[in-house]
Amino acid sequence: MLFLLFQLGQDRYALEARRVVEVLPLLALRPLPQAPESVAGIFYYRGQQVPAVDLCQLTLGRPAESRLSTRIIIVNYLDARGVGHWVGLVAERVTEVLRKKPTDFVGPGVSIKAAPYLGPVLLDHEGAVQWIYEQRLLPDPVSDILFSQSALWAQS
Amino acid sequence: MTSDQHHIPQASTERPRCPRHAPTATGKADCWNQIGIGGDGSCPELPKVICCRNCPVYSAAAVRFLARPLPEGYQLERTEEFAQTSKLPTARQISLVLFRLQADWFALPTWACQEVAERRPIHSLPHRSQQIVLGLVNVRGELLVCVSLDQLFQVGSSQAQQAHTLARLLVAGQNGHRLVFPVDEVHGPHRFDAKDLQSFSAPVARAPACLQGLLAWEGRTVSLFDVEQLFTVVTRSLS
Repeated sequence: MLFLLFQLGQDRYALEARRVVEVLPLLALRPLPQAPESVAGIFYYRGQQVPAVDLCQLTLGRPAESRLSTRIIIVNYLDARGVGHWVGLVAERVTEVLRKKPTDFVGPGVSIKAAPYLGPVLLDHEGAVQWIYEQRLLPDPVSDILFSQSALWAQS
Repeated sequence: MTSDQHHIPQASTERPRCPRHAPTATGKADCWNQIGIGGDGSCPELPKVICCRNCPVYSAAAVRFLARPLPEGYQLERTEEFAQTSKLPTARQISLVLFRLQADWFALPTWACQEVAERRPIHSLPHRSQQIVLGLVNVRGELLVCVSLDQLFQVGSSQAQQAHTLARLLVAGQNGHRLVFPVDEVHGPHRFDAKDLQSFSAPVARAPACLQGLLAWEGRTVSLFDVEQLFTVVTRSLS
């Protein structure tokens, strides 16, 4: 199984590569007024509006550093009604992929209610890599804001 | 790996280049250009990693390179680029292997091409008067019929067996039948839009049924073989 590695601060995380639509450079984002801090803004991707969520802001409380290795990972996110949406995840040091078996990851032993996206952990020579469940990443308020509008459009 | 063997610039603003793609070494103290494959190849790690690209020192330099702040104008340029609607080809594409016979370029669908092999001795068959069948060649222990497309198309003079450095054998297969065609050069696979394929508007003199159409490629005209027809024609001439 192929994983896309990224960092938030000093910690390494992995996303299942087949969930990734595309990895983009850090594009200029148009901020959304009144949106939660973790919603970094929206950008146009192939003629479509896609919201970007800053994972550093979401988990560490500070925006991602503006570097070449900071990239936008587009994933397909299913909202509460099971409708798929593209979401850009801004993460740091998106420079590597890793091929590992799912069984190489072991349960973290703790489960944090506020962070249901944290999965099992893999240890390698560089330290720990934690699996991120991208479908559980967005807290409900964020998910509601991002996708309620598209639902309105869909109804009209 | 000792650190003094790898002189990596700590604040690397220079893009770490694989010397194979940048033959002009910049003279920077970058180990891949000094003792790696861009240099004298004396790095003790080289036999293990084969190419500097596989070496952790090289990837560490790449990570440092990418840790730079965004260059000026980069973000806006990229933002515009990705905002545009997909430039990805939506038209149906066909993948073809291009090869040359004498001065003319031909193509076979990539799915029909199994192997490109070096030229090797062709064992002629006795009691074969047709010049289309050149004989048998040994491809991975299997004797396959070698067919001269030059003869089939009467392209120039028959110099199929003349050895030169670009000449190859093209092993093609269809429905379990395999044939070997000596060709003068193989360009490799190339993608074309299916809509660019032009059929022969008028019956072309000597255009055999086994040609499917024409394609423009780098100012040249490439004739595409119809694999099924080609195999039928060849099999008929064999019997």
